[in-house]
Amino acid sequence: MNKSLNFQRWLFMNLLLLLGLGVIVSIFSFLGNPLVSPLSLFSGDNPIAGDLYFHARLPRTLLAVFVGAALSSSGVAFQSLLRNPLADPYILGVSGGAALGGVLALALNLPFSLISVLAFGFALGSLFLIYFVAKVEGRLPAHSLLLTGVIFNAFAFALILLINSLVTLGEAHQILFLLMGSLEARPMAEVFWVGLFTFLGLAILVFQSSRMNVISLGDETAAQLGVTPATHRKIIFFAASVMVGASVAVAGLIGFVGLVVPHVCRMIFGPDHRVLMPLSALGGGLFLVLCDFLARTLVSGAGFQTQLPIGVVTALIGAPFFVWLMKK
Amino acid sequence: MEDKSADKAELKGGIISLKPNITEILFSLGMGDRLVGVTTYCDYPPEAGGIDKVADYVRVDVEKILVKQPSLVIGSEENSTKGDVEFLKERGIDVRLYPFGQLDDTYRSIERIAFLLGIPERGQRLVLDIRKELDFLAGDPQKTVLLVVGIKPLVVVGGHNLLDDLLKIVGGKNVAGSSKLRYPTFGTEQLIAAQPDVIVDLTMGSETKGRTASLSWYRQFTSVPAVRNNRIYFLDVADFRASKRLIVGAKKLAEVLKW
Repeated sequence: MNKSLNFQRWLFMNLLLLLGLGVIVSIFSFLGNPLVSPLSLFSGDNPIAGDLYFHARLPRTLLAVFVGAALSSSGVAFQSLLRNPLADPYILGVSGGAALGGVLALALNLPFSLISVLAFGFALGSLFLIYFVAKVEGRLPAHSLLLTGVIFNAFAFALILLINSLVTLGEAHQILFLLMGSLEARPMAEVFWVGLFTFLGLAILVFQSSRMNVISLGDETAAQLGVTPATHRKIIFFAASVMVGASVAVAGLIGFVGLVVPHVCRMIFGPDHRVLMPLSALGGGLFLVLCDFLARTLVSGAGFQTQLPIGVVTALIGAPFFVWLMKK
Repeated sequence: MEDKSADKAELKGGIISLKPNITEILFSLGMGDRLVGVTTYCDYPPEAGGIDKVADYVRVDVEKILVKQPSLVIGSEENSTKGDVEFLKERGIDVRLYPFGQLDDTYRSIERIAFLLGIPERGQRLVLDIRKELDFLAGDPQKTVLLVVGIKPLVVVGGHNLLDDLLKIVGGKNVAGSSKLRYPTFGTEQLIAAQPDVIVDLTMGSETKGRTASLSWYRQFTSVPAVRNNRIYFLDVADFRASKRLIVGAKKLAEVLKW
């Protein structure tokens, strides 16, 4: 499939993926406990259905798609950038910065709407900080980027724990939930912003995907092949990091998606980034929509009337699936 | 367990309370002057505020407790750090934990604490007082109610919970009452699907400044009767502590359900 990849085929594949994603989103936004029938939305005689759909189901299903796509595609980008299969979207420190901003906003008792704004602000701030610390002679070498990111994350989480130990029990509980990640009850405006940043970031990553193929071979080989790795590495780093920052700012830290979906897609569809990048984005979106459906439905019955943390579901499904795929 | 806590405690030294409601119970039993250590949240009765702080809600400062050489430490079975309790017991300190998760537990624990302190009749009288006051508030469960203890995420009062018991008494039906969990995490979709007549928000405590934000969040859901009829109330969760104070909370709850 990779050998005969030309632009028309590539475009056709992507449009097909987009269409499939649209269908899945519309199906899953109606599923849940209770079910919402599409007909009741338009007939107008059932205000509960409208409330359920437009204030709960639709925003969180869309957010699941955007966050899933952002995490998986940035996972692919970081794995290629660092030439490290263990890289995930949270490894380069931007997520730690976003989480720190969110936790700080909680501790300062800022209004809900400002929490994600401050978190995104902190994500951008840490992005530039990491960039300037990791930069060596105008380039972004994998090892210094990795080290800076890991150290910055450790530092950010130490500050989070410090704040956590100083606030009240109720606030500490909120901080825990913010770190566990959730797609619950976000206003449409925030969902829109995450969607916009994801779309822009993904577009840049897709345009960079053929360079990523070359960069994965190592900087020297890339230079020999006529690609200037230094510039492209920076573009990839910034595009992926902004996506991660936006998704953590709104949905918190949802683990596993950005690590496993890229690997699963690579095992099934091969390592060509031109194919892998859009497919991972789609796969991540699909995976998170499915996990979120399970998280909000599995234990919503009369006996429990509760929801599972989304990160629990992504790990419980993702890990065994990954093992099965490796052993197959 | 039962026989161990049935014997009376040696009360040469002081008593340490590890929960605000236990501090209040000890004051109601007339033993407030024996307290030598309380938590940072013990603010009632006002005299409690002057006693040394040796714990917050979950963490216990074991060093401070060892220095006090208390003859008795009383905590709750819910939210107590097992490691700290074991450590104090190994150092020869008498630590007793009592359950306060539901109304019946609270009654029984009050009586057991009074018995332990050698004043059983005071315990029985306190329980009787609380029962009598609650009897006055009894109402028919007609309105459906959602009791919110955390808004982001939306954590609500489930079944097997003191607040659920009080709600039943004053005449409300908890929409999350069938949950086996004491504090289930409710989704927005569950809030909308449950269609409660009344929403009681307990997240703010005595603070009022965050109310506008919470109110505007609830008001998005216009299909919910509580929103349509403007029946969203803010109460202070401290008024529902498992002590004599729960009468205050139950009265306020009965008030908001009345009209």
